[in-house]
Order: sequence, then structure tokens, then C-alpha cells
Amino acid sequence: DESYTLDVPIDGKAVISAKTPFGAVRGLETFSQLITSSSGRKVIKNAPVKITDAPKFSHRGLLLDTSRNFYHLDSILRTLDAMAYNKLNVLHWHVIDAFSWPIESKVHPELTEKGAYSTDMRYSYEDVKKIINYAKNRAIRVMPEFNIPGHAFVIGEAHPEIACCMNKQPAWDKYAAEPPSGQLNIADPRAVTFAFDILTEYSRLFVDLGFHLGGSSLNTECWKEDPTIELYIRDHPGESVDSLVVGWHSQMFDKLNELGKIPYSWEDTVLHYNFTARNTTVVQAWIGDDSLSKVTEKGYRAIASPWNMYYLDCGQGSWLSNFEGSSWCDPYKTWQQIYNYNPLANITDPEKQRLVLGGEVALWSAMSDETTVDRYLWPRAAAFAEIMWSGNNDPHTNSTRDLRKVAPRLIEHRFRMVARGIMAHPVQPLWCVRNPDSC
Amino acid sequence: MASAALASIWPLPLVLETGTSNTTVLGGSIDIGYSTSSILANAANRYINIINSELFTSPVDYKQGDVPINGQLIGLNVVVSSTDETLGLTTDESYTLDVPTNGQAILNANTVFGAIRGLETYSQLITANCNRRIVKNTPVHVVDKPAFPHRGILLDTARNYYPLKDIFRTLDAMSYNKLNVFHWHVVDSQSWPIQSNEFPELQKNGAYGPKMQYSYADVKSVIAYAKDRGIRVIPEFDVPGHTYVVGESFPELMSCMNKQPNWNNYAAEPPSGQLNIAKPEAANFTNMLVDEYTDLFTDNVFHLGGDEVNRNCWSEDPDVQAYLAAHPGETVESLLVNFYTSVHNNLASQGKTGMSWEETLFHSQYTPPKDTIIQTWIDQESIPNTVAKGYRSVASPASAYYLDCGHGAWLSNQDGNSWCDPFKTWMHIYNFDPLANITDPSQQQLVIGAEVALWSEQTDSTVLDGRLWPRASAMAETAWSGKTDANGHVRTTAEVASRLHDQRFRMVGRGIRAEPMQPLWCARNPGMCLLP
Repeated sequence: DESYTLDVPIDGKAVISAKTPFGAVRGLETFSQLITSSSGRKVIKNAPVKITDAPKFSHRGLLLDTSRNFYHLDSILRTLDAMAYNKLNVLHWHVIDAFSWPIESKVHPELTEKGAYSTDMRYSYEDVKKIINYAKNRAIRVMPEFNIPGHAFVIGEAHPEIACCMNKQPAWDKYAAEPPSGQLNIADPRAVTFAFDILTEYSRLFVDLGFHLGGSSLNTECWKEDPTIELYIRDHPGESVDSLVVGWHSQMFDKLNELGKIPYSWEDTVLHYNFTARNTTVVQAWIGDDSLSKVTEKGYRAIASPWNMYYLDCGQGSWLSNFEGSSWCDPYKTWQQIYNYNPLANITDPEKQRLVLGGEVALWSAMSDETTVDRYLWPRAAAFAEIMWSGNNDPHTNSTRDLRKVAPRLIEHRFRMVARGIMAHPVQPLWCVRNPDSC
Repeated sequence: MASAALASIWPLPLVLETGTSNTTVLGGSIDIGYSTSSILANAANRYINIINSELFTSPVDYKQGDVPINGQLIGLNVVVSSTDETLGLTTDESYTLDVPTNGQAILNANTVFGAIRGLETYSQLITANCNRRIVKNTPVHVVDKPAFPHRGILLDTARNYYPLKDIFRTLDAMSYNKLNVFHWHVVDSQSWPIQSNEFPELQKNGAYGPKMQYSYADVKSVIAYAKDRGIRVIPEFDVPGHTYVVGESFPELMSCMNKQPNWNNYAAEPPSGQLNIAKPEAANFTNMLVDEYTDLFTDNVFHLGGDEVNRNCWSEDPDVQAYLAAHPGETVESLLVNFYTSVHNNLASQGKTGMSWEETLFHSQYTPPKDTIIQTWIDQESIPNTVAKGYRSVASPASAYYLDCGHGAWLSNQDGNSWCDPFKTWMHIYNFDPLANITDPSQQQLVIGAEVALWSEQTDSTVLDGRLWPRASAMAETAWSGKTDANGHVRTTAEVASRLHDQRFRMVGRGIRAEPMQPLWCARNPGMCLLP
């Protein structure tokens, strides 16, 4: 429960009232934003101020990919601070991917030895605990994602015996969504054992109830062309790559449930395959305008992160060195576009709407690292944060809030964040900021 | 692998010969002999510091163990033959650099500015291997000079302000890329940060705040800092458009001040406002300003702007209408010609060469003086069109070289793209050829260079480095090294990616927050992140 009330009298003591410490944390942020400086004094204008507040959505998250490029601890802590300034409450930590395995593993230390970019570019158990604690103090959950069985090149570097289609070149695009290719061999029981090891180890380290299993962008060719899988399918008539995938997901989801976790996964698992998970599973919709409604139609709880609105890395063009064109998800998502978007737009049934827990913006790091993280995230994630906490409906007019009225508040918030050490990007010429309604 | 075989220099030198030995660098000593040049002394000190504090290893070499060492470098001798320190379009920036397997390296240049270019190359030859500084593949022989003499960055300090330290850091980064023109777009409609002794109100009313200004002393320190790095500072005072801010002090000089909400009928972006060219005071005012700033800015070239001039702004101004009614035979176009004639002639009388945007040549009836440098931006055809008319051209086509594009519209209620989206990737920038469609060699000569532009509607200190780098480096190589190798082969982005990664990581190590090009895995595994 993140609700709170805040009363600031003209004279005397302000009071924050909340059911939980997390509500109080939200109230404290609001209180800090009421205070501005005027002629060297700190003031609250327009007192008395009376606020009653509670979030519209309970899952208001930010995905950070620390595998494609590494982020030192201080940049993650700074991101958590910035999230707190915006009342965001879930750090979806996409900690590993094909490119690197930065996180310590006590069960499989070879993963970090072979997979981390360097000894300096790692997250030890201490680091992880520090992040979880820092986040909790800001009422932020840390939900880890271990995206298997796809995106597994880096696992194959340590365990080639359980990997397929490792770094196929030059035609990697037949086997993967991006280079280097590599997926776990879903027909190999050793891969299942390995995956169980990972789920078990990290279910203990990460205390959040939610554990994200990934499951996006699985490539069928990668498995079809693997001789052991060909053999398996030949020996098991009726089975196919698809049925193997379903079998894999069953085992993984069951394992997570056994470990006392709530599985989260990308929409591919339940929408692209004939796989039915328990209805406690939370599914993250990212692909189409109708993904969210499809997920809720199936009765799952859902998180909205449509790439065409919420993928904050898009707009920098392709990162393949010989291609001067767009990336798959261009163009850049503007704050205006993010603000105008209502995640519930395509869901009319109120029962289904209730299944939407919230949303996430995502920062995939192919072209981002700690030199860019602040400006890629902010203030666009702040625009998203308001949609998640407040919605974009103006109750007075019963229509979407006018961007011309939102802009000054967003820009003020941007300057506040800059002053607090977040290098949020500028939104307009300063002249426009000072002359609202003129730009 | 490319980086292990060849020295990783950016931009690529004209001639780069390498050997098969490796040499440790005993000390970063740089000896300038009997030279009394303070520019050279400053440069030597600067590079001694860079070399002694830098421990750069290419991502490609991250697993490399101890390389075998065949010799020691005891230092670098720098020999400069001329004491002429004039910095301008015809300054000789050539140099040769020899780094033996054993002994003393030698840098020869005709001018101190050539020596500065050579020092940068020397610093890039030195990499770290297991905590030693080494030069790989010695002996190294470099012969180098630029393909184009004008290689610049335009920085707009009016839409948003940049403190001096950002400008200094940008000049440093430019020197790491052998860029040599800082095109300072110092004022525009939104603010006037620079001190004016002639019209102090301009800064008083026009600067964003007392801490967002450039004093005379600031400007001089920028010019000196730049000159120490062989970088010219070309100021731009954009007239007669883009001048709303002048009206904050002198409303009587203006037309169409801040028309709302339909500013788009009167200007390319809000707030609207142009000098009233029907009033002789407008040209007089401009000329007085130019007289002031041609003293402060020492470069021979002075940019008068002239872009995005809106005709409605004048034709709907009652004042202008009254003037035209009283002066049959005159038109808005003829008034514009008179204005340009006055300001360009005045500039010439100050002994300066004018630079202006392509509109003065192509979108007005004015014929600029023949020595005017035309900066083309609207489309790529403007470059051949400019040189076909016999004018020198600086290429900065928006479609390739505008670094601000790609972040959507900045107007509060607009949810779409900006006019110049999409984002220009480094590959797109690298692939652009300023000489495309110009076959006549005498016309090719008229393309004196290129500029990338960082317009600041959506940029300020917080994002400056990332917006500029490493994309400006891509242009820097086109401008220094041209598009082709000695044997005529056109360099591809796949071939140069490794070297640009090195340059990016090197710049980050030197304090420039250049943005990453790819996942680090791709930087370490050249050739594995290509489109099949």
C-alpha cells in the first residue's frame, strides 16, 4: 500500500500519514517537491496544501539491461534515486544476456569468469544485496530477469556442451535476433539441470517474490538445425521444436513456483507457444498494440511495455557497423508520445483492465552505458511515471491532460532532477521554459 | 585482427607504415628544442600529461598478455621549421612522425599547428600493455596532412547555455580528432549571452541569467584555448532572421516580434522576430555590432548567418508596408538585397571574409561577394550548386551532419518527429561524401571542408558530450583523411568500426563522455556484429 496523505499548514508542522513506510516514502518525495527556493529562502507556496495520493498502477517499472554494456554500481544506485524522485517502484534488472554475464555465481563461478567483461565489470553478491537494500529503502522492488533458453551465447562460452548455434557468422540472423547467436539445448537434460541451478541460486539471492524468466525472441532454426535436437525429434514422434519449448517452459515455471516465486515472462511464452502457465504468472507484453489485451484475454496478469512506446533505447539507428539504416524499433519515443499513450486503450472490459498491474519502460544497452543512462532514461521515464501513478486523464475535462500544461511541470521536474545529480536531457530552449505556451 | 596489426589512429594518417617490433615508452618526455613558441610549449606539456596519465588498451586487445619488447623509446623531439603562428584557412597542418624501435622519436612540421596534429597522433600510438606504455609495430613512419582545411563543429550557445568548461572540454575533444574550426553560433532568438560594449542592454536583457553569460574575458580565453589547439574560432551573428532577442532591448528595430500562436507563419521556430529591413537603423545596428565583434574575434572569417529568413514577417508588418507604399519600385526582396549589401560591404571594410548560410546565395536576389564562404545545409545538392557558381563551400547538410536530430519534436504539444529526424548514425555520417556529384577538380577545390552542427533546442551541458561524440569523429576522418585510401579504395564503416571504437574508448578515458557504439562484446570481436 503506497497511499499517503500530506498536510502542510501555513504555520506549524506538516503531517504525512501512511499505512506503510512505503507510502511515507512516497509522501516524503512529494513533500520535497513542494519546497522551492525564493530569494535564498526555502518556501512552500500556496499553503495550506492538502494532498491525498495513491498510485493508479501497482507495478511501475524500469528495465535496465546490464549485459550488453556494463553499469558500475554507482550508476545503478543513482538510477534508483532517480526512480524514487518519480515514484517508480520496480527495477526490472535484466542482468544477463548473450553478451556478458556480470553477476557472481557461487554454484557456477565459471559463468562470471568466462562471461563478465572484466574483473572490474562484475556484480558480486555484496553488490547485489547493496542494490536490493538501497532499492527497498526507496520502496523499490528489484526483480531479476534471467532470460533463458534464448540469448544464451555467454552461457555457451562456459558450457558449450549445452548450447546450440553458437556465434554463427556471418548469417547470424538466421539463428538469432542479434549477434552473437546461441541458445540452450532444450532437448538436453543437462541444460534443464543447469537452468534449475540458476533459478535456485538466484531465487535465494533476490528476495522479491517476482522472478522474470525471460523467454523472448526464441529462434526455431537454431534448434531445428542442431543435430542432437534433430535426433531427439526423430526418436520422439509427435514432438517438435515447439513442443520442446513448451516442455521447457513447463519445467522452468514449475521450478519457480516450487521455489516460492511468482514467474514473470515475456509474452512470447504464452502467446507464441501452446503453453499455459498458472494464472498467478505475470506476462510482460512488448510486441503489438493488441498484445496486452491478448494476454489479459487468457486470464494472466500483465505488464505493459510496448516497444513502440516504451523502449527508450530506440532512435539511435542500427548498431551493426556496416548498416547505416534504422534500428528495428526506431524512431525515438518522445516524452509527448509516451505521455499521450494510455496502456489500457485497447482493453474495454474492466475485469481485464484490472489484470494490468502496470507497465515498464526499457533501456536496452546495445548503445547505452553509464555515460548515457541518465539522458536516455530521464525525463522520458518521468512522463511514463506520471501515467503509471496518476494516469493521463484530467478529471476536470475527462480527457487526456493537455501537453502544453504538462510540459512546464515536466521541465521543472527535469531541472529538479539535474540539481539532484541526474543528467536528464533538456526538453526545450530555456526561453520556452520561461515562456510557457509560447513553444 | 585489425587493431593488433595496425596502429589505431583516428583520423587515419595519409601515410602510415608500421613494423613488427614493440617498443616501451620510458618517459613521456617531449623536447621542443630551441623553440620559443608558447603554443608549442603548451602543447608539449599538454601531451606529456596526457601520455603520462593515459593507460589505454583497445577493447580488441583486452585479453592480450605481455607483448615481447624489442626496444625503448626515450622521448620525442619536435622540430618546427617556421615561427609563423597565423591560424587560418591556409595554415600548414602537415607533419611527419618517426617512432623507431629504439631511441628517440622525431616529429617534424612546418608550423606549430602541424606539430600539434603530430603530437595527437603520437599520443594515440602509445597504448598500455600490462601496465607498461608501449608503441606497437615499430618502427612507425607517419606522413600526414589534411584533405580539407576547414573541419569544424558548430555549437549553438543561444537556445541553451553552456558554461565555459563545456566549451573548453569540447575544444579538447576536437583536438583529439584534429578538428580545427569552432563555429560559435553564439546568439539567436532565444538568448544573447555575450557581452556587448556597444549595446550592453543586449546581454543585460537577453542573457538567460548572470551566470549564463560570456564576458569579453571569457571569449578571449576561448580563443586562446582554441588557438593552443590549432582551432580557429569563427563567430556567427545571425541576421536578419533569428533576432527576436534583439527586440527585447530594441523593439523599434524589429518586425513580427513573438507572434503567437501562429509563429510558424513568421519564423522557422518560436519566438518569431526579425530585424526590420525597411529601417536603415537595422543595418546600422548590425554594422556597429559587427564592428565591435570583428575586433574581439580575431579570425579572418566572420559568419553573418542569413538562414531561414521569413518574408511574411516583413510583408505583413505595417511599418514595412508603409515604407513600400511610399517607395514604389522597392520590394521586400530589394530591401533584403540592400540589407545584405550594407552588412557584407561593412564586413569587408573591416578586413574580414564573410561566411553565410546558403540562403543568401540561393534564396535571395543578393549576390554575395565572391570570396564569401557559403555554408550549405538544406540538402546535399547545395554543395555542388555552390561550387558551380564559383563560391567556396563548407558542407553541413542537415541530412548527414546535424547532430541534434532524432529526438522528436520539441514543441510541447507535438507528438511526432522533428523536421530533421531521424538520428544521424555515425555510419551515415561516415558514408557521406562532401564531394559527391562534383567531378570538376577545380570545383572540388572550392569545397573547403565540413562542419557538424549541434543545435541546442534539446541539448545542454547534461548531454553535450554524448550528442557530439563519437559521431563528430566520423566527420573528422572524412574531413582529415578524405573518403579513400591511397589506392582509391573507399573506406567502409565495417572496416573502420574497430578504430572508431578505440577512439571512443580513448576519449572516454580522457574525460569526454562519448556514447557507446555497440555492446562491448562487439567492440572486442570486430566483424561479428555486421548485417549479413
